[in-house]
Amino acid sequence: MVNDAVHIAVREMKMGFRNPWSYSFMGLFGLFMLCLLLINNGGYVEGYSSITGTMLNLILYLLPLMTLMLGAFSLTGDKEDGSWELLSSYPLRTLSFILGKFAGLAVVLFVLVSFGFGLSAVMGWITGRGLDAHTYILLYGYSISLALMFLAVSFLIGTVAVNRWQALTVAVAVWFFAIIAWSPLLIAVLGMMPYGWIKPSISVFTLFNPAELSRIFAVVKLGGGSVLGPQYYDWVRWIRQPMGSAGYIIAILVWVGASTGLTHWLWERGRAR
Amino acid sequence: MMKWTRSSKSYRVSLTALCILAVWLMTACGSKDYKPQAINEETDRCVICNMAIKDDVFATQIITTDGQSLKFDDIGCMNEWITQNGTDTVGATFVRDYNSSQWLKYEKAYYVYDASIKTPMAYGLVSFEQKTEAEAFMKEQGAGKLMTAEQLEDHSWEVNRDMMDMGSHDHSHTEETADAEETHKEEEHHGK
Amino acid sequence: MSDGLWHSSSSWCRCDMLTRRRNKTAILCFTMVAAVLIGQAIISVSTAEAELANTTSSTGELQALIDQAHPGERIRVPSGVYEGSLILSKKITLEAETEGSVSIVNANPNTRSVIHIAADDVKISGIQIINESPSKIPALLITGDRTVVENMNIQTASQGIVLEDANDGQFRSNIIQWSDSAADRAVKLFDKGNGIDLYNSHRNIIRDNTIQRVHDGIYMENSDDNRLTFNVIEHSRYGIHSMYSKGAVIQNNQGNFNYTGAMIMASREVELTGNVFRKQSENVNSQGILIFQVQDSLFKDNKVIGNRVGLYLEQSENNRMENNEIANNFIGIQLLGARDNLITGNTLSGNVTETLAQDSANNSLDRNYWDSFQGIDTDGDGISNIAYAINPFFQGLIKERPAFQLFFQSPSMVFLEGLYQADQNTWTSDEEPLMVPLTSDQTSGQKASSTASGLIGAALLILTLSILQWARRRE
Repeated sequence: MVNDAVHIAVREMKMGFRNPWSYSFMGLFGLFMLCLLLINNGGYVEGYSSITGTMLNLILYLLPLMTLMLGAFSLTGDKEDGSWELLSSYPLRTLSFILGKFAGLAVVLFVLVSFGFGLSAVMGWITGRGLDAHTYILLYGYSISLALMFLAVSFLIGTVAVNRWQALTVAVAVWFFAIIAWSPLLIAVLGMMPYGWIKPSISVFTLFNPAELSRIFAVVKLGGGSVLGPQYYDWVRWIRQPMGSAGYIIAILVWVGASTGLTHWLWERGRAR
Repeated sequence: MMKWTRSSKSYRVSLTALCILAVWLMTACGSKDYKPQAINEETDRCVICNMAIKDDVFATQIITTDGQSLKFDDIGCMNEWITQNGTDTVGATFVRDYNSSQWLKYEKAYYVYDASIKTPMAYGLVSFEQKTEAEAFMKEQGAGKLMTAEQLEDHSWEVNRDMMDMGSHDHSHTEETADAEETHKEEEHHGK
Repeated sequence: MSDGLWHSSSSWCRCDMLTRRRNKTAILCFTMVAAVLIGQAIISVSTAEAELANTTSSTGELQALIDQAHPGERIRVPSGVYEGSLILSKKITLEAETEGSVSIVNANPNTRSVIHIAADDVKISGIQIINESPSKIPALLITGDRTVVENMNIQTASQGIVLEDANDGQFRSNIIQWSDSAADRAVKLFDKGNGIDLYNSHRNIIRDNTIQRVHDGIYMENSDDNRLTFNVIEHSRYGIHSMYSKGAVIQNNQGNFNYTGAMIMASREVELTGNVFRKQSENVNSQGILIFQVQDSLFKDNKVIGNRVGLYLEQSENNRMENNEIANNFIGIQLLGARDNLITGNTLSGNVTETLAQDSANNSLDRNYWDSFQGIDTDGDGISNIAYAINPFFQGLIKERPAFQLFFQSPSMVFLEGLYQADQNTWTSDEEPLMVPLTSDQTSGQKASSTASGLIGAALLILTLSILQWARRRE
């Protein structure tokens, strides 16, 4: 089973690195990270400031959308070109297939993000506009975790969508909901609720939006937790401890586990039919 | 695909219904019972003057009709909020007993005012649950004016030292130096 | 006489009883001081012995000495640890024979100050005061005028120096710290006492003091025309806190890691210039400078860097804010119900969000530099032809519903703010924003090497390229 999964992962990586989409995304992300360097005319940056705040947001605009598209396209692609039909005729377990694809795509995304970060750090070093190491590692970890969680979401999209076009539509919709429409929607809905409900509701909803979850984690770890206000002080204090990082990693694992599990279940159901 | 869309739609409808029900329940049941919240010294700050609120006898709070707790470091700041915002959204108002630090309904407390009583924003007012304790406090201080909540409505709410009325009327010994400094400041500005 | 004075420090009651008329003795005294300086090494050896010898010295002896002294006399206290609750009720000078080698430990921490200066024209210097058990009683209480307190080291678990109706004093080069004993370290910030506390005390000069880990570093209430300069205040609640006071001159002080650097409330004619406030960012209510109900004051040439909010201005009128450098804060300037203030020539850079404003349209904001603002300068005069307007949406939202503060600068909030364009004429705006900052020196950017992140980046590049290489080879 593990062998099968590794086999699928290697196949996925090969396909990923042959896919022109991956390279255009890599180029885009690299270029974009370099652009962020240009904005940083103040020089060296440490902690939560306008540069790191802008980086957090711009990564949030670009990376989830790229991830959703790559992941969803990969799954619908397998359905469309008949390779899943072929694979399912072998004694290959669906779980090996799903995990293998997840691992393979995770490596592709890792390379994509690392290339962008590597390029910007080296250029920043040369031009004297780099980031402080701690801040840099945090932003890098933030990007990787964002990619992993949205990859998990993309698997659900790729599962429910029948073809690439549908996948694209759903991916953009999910992205818009999680990144752009999030606070307007919550403000509209929660604004009507009694005051005491707002904070618990937002806290719970945040757990269900990987974009917000990782943004808040990054802001707090960059030392900007106090700007989130008195209501979230206990959360902020908790996240700042090493325990907070552990909790965040668990949250990522739960996210990845839950959506790959759900994906697996849906594929199994489809296969049985 | 169709199946998925339909089920998610019905789910969404039921979620909305649940929310509405919850809101209705909250407003229906929660309207009468306003409870004061505990002071968190790390995070609470006076809604009016921005000072951190110490968990002491001077702290006061308003619970609004929708359950928000507005905390103040001095009863004078609370009065200021009510002056600015009216009482329409005020559910309940709490002050603290000077001796026990217990929360009391604003309307039921007894108040002692004296300019010499030091409070965070210098309004010079403290509150008591029992009239006898308020009287004992006045006796101990050798000063003070006892008031009920109704009588407090006619209170002047002057702070120990009103900064708005200071200045040229102030004939204290500081006047000369203040004037000298002012001319000095002006010179400095012209110089730059 | 001089022999007896420092060789047998245990018999310390042989203080010099000079008056100004006795010139000869004065010269002798000078020689003595010189000798002290030269013979530092020898003294330090004998200090250790002296401390042992004097540990048991009771309050009575030192107090008796003070009581016996004539007004105007100078008492030089030999090295040692003394127990004491002293009252200085006549004009005298009390100083450590060797600076830093005299400690007075509070014997009655719950009832009396370690030293109470009750008379005018008293001077104390070079003495360490240790006031370890928590209480409300200040370590050093001053109720006399023209007091001079210098080179003192005060370790306290209550208030540091308290001035009550004490005018024209001078407080220089003192160190005031919250006691570092294990029990005292556990005391919460809000339960601590103030470093220097002035009540109804005017025209004092407070200079070059270092104050750490206390409630408010310097607190002034009903106290006018005090000069606070070159003080450093750290890890306290509020660095400098002024209430109901006027004419304070607050210059060239530094505040780091406090809840709020300077808290100027209900005050007038304050001159706050040349101060540096960094890293007031830990608490959810932190600010570099907070100004509330302040009139006719000047805030100039300050640097507020890396705070939660750089400059917070509420319900204040007729103040001038000029040439301040407001950099790398989470929120640069926050204005709430402020009017008729002149805000000009300030440089805002690197703040996560530059301004939040509400009900503050009637200020004159002009010629400030906002680094996030892309101005257009058609006539080349260095001033943008389009105004910089501050969107009041987020401030209005969090004022009503603080729970939404979690969305601070999230992409969706930025998007939503962009949609909100109502009543633009009521927005606070800078009509003539600068194209380049006035202050050219970029002191705010912490220039340091980004070598570490560069090396990590290089490693990442090599790693990704080799993964790519490997994947291609396997094809």
